Amino acid sequence: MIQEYLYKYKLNLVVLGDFNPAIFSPAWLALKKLIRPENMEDTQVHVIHGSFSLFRIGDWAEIKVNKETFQLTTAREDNFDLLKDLMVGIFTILKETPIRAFGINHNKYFTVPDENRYNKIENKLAPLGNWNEIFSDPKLMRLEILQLKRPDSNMGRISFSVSLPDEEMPKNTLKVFMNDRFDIDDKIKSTEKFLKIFEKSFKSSFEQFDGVIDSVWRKIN
Amino acid sequence: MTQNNSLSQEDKFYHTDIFETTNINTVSRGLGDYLQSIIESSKFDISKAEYEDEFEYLDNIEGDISTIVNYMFAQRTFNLNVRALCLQKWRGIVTDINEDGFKAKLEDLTNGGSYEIGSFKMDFVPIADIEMFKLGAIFYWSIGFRTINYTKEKFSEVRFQRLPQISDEDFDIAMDKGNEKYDFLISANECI
Repeated sequence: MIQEYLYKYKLNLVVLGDFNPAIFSPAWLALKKLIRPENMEDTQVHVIHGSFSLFRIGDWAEIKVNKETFQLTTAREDNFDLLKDLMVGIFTILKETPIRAFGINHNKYFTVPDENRYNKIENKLAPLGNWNEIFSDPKLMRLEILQLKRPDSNMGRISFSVSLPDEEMPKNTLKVFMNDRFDIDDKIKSTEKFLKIFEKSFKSSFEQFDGVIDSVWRKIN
Repeated sequence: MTQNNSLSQEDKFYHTDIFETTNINTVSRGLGDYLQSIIESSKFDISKAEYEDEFEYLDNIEGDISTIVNYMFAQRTFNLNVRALCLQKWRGIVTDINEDGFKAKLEDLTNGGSYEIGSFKMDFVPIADIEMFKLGAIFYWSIGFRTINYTKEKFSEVRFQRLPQISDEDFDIAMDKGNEKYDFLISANECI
């Protein structure tokens, strides 16, 4: 099972729209009771500016906002549902925010201690023998698959990639990423529509991501 | 909204969680070098005051400011040095509160299956979430392994759901909608 190699699971929720970054602060979240009062004390503010806000809530989530993008991130699997609730809470309050699209971005990092095993996985995903005559000791850097039409009735697309990790990781780690993107076509009630689709799709997005990983894993073994 | 095969710049920003496609080369080389030096010299500990100075400087420069801001934005990220993987997760709903504690209906989020009813003592409720505790409150209970700065430990954590309370205005709107539907059904029934 590939799950035995799982080193880290990071969830990143992204919303595209028009935002006022200065609104977003730990004090505002605490005032609206969207975070624990103790988290306000425990928050590390990096910057709150008219152009963007960036701060961390306790040890569990990061908020990053600029004028066009709103992001929530956590690397704690026990808090994935809390991250969803935080998103729902924020945009239930800011219900007039124009929203164009959102994404549920899954990042799983798998560390395969056995070098031979790691090389076999790499080679199955992208046969490196094709490149042996051109490059010496070629390695897989990034493999990306795009599906331009969603499997459900929503607008958007899905992309899936396997790549080298984008942060410090143990040796022989591969990052598996899925961008589950939804476009919002309702300009009048975009926030309402966003919340409806987001809440409905949250759980199934995880099932889909795990389904893709299991399916690829079966094929390469 | 249409879909096509090409990715717009916005798509590229959105597509990657770290905006990795933002291209500093779109601004002048000198400015790019300046920004790079700021980023390298101040990686994780820049003070807010210094930060604001940078923006004052940037605001006075002609060019693609949004590209610069997005580039800096991408660089300024926390290292989430706490990671946790769950062995099992439950979602609970408080169904009964008594002198000894409370009962909750538990949904196994890891393995699925039917609901279970659990009895808990009051000390199960975290003090930080006590204000959210009431009949019908939802909580998440997870057990697993957590790693903080290379130290791995077992954990069992309970967090209560935090969602905004419905406002009087929203309550009235929901009631009006409900009444409208009720009236419609009653009148439709009378027609039959």
